[in-house]
Amino acid sequence: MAERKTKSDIAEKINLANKNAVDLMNKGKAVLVDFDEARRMIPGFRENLILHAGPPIAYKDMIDPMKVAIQGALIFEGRAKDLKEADKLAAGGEIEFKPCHEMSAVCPMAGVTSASMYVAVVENTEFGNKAFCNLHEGRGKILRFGGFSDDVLKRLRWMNDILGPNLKKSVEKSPLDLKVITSKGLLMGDEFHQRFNASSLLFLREIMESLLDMEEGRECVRFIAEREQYFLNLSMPAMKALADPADGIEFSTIVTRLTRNGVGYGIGVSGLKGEWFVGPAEVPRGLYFPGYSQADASGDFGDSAIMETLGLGGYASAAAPAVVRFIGGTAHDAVQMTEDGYRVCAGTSRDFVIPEMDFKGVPTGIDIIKVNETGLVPKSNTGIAHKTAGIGQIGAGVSRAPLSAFQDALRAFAKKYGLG
Amino acid sequence: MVCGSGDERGETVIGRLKVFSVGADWFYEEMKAQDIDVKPVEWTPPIEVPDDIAGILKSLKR
Repeated sequence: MAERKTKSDIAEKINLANKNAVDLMNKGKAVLVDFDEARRMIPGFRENLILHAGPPIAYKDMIDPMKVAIQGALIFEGRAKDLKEADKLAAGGEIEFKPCHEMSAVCPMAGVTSASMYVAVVENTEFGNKAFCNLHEGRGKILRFGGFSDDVLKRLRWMNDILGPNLKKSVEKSPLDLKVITSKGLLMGDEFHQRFNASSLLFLREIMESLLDMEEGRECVRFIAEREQYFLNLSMPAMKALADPADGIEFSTIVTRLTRNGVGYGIGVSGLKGEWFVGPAEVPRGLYFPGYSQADASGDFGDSAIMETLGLGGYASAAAPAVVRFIGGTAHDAVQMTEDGYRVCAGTSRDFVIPEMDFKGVPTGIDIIKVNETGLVPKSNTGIAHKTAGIGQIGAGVSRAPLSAFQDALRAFAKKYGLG
Repeated sequence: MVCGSGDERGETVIGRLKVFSVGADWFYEEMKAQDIDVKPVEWTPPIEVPDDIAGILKSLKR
């Protein structure tokens, strides 16, 4: 352990390290460069590996929707013929499970990604790192919410056989700058966790011409146009690609990971590279589809809190009046969520600005010290899944990160750097 | 003068007035930017912060 140091030694080092982390997040680029199977794109991906959202968790401890998503993935891979057989295989020890984040990936909800599933590849061309995310299925009964049926499987196969290869050809011809789409989307009312209406259409406009030149291009365009959150699975790897260069800076107290698996909510801190700090994942509060209530909801899950890690989603709520009803009911509540972000972040974004905040950049660089000082934990605008597998999405709302994870992170930081 | 909600922590002196605020550093910078005569005072932990966390935070304020 380091020697006990004075405030002037350590506080100054922390300030400089945090400024550096925010600068790296701001300087990065996020370019959509490819689509292909996970085993071909993600370094170190093995045939028996399945990625999941959130911090590490054993198969036996997973929530039902995540288990069923894994079982569906094993059927998709041809390793099991039905859910029962897939459950036995998954529980038997032959399949390896790993958090998406540990493979430079981020995937929504269950986050389940298997070897032959297509992923989007986003490159931070400023620093050379890449990030990955599986393809967007839509809403309702879908694999990522723990929904599985013949229709779900058929859609997944079509996405792999038709949509993915066509998207690959399209972006190979002209890679897309996702930061530009994000900047424009914020000006058009997206906050980038609940609402992607503008950015999904901006993305479609960019690729439509090349898709329509392809044989199956018309059905690909229709699939994307029908899904208003299509951009979610592109903006998540974009934010991961921007966050990763800021990880591993000595003395930095900036958060580089926020993610949930339905049981635990895990965070990562730049100056404590590779360590997970996990508290309980709460059941989100929000609006439910007709016939459902909070009593039906699963614990919060998904890697999509990578959006808040970079100041979008909950922290950009002031940009999206349309999502106000999910997050409290008034426009003031939305502005308050953004204001709370400024109170716990070390800086602001250079490129992502909010018109409603007088074009100030979104809060960037969540500082565990400030979170502990204020008790203002990050809040995510998130989808809500039914706790029983097979039903899928039942609403959308807000979930809070557990303060205990930030306390544990600060304790570990103090131990490593000789504080307190 | 006292302002803010139950979430609000920290303490700042504005002229002869004491203001309890969220994230005193942030509030202090906002006040300075508005040319308000403001002086920071020592941060004190809210009662619900565990002792060890309060100790770590205080060590950064010394």
